[in-house]
Amino acid sequence: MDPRECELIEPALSALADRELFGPERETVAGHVAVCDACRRTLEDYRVLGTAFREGIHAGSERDLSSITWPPRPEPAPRAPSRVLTRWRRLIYDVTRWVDPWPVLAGAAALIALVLGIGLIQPAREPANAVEIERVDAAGPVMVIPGNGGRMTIIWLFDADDQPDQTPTPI
Amino acid sequence: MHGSLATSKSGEDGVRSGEDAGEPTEAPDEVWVAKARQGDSSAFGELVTRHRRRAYQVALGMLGHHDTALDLTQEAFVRAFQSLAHFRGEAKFSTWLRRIVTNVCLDYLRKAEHRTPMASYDEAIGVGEDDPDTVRLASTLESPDTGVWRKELGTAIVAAMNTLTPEQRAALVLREIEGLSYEEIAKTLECATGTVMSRLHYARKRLQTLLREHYEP
Repeated sequence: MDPRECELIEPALSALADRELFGPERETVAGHVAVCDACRRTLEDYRVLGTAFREGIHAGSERDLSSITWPPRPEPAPRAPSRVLTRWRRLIYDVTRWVDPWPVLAGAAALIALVLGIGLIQPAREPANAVEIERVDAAGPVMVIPGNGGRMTIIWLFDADDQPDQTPTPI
Repeated sequence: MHGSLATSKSGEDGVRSGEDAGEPTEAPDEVWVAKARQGDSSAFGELVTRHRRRAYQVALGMLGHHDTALDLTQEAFVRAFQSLAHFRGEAKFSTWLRRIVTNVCLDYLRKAEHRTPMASYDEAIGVGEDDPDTVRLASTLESPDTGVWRKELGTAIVAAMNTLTPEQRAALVLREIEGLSYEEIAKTLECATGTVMSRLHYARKRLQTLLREHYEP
């Protein structure tokens, strides 16, 4: 069979299968199919596919459809999402599209743990130039900050042009 | 209320009437439509009960997914109720409703197509296997006689349908499921008969190409 003839006939095969061809056009196409194995097979394929599709849909629709009802069941009103939350979600979504979040989160958690650990473990140190005094008797104002173990920090407050000696005078 | 109207004519639309409710109602659709137009909500409920299965079949054929088909069928009834005042009764209620269902599904598919480009056959097969509702539709093709072959073909058909354009799907469903003539399909889809012929040709050709391996010996 000339393949060019098949190409011409092929678009009408579907209509022939649906019995939607009439008159001379039908005669031409049917005449070709009678002598062409390939086109006959195509027609048979269309029938098989049509039957399988129909059976599938009919069987698939044999289910409970009582949810389609009137009046329609009211849907629970969705809670309005917080704008801030939505913005954060979107940000997280955008970031996680490009970056695998777990290594980053694990790294951040380790860093936080390290910082907290150092802060907790590190003992309180005295200032390098700390001076032990027993009594404070100053003309100017002082700030006394109580510390642990009976220690305290004393800070002299003075004007810039009235600087006392570098060594505070214990009295 | 249901079934209280006696009539001499059951009509084509009434063939399956009352089957969902388990209660025979013989009044033709026109009676219920008239009552519904006067604001009788329960009359429209009767129309929903009568036509929901066929409407659902159209939606399921076009969408291939149970839950989405249920939602869109319900939406189609809502739209039908809202436009009931415009229904002049020139066509049957079932014909009018079919057009609404088809348009609702077409709108949905076009929007979905816009959001995500059309799936390739391989992608669609993957989606179908992961989705229990799609697989359930396909598995209904399995029978003791035909067994695995039918099930595989069913899965493959659902997946292959996802590769067709919305308009091709609509034409195929209206032809294969609803059994409409080309002229009726053309009216439903508001296009020329030649366009229907062309859409069906391309749809079937594509299905045949994609599914050949499933039914060729």
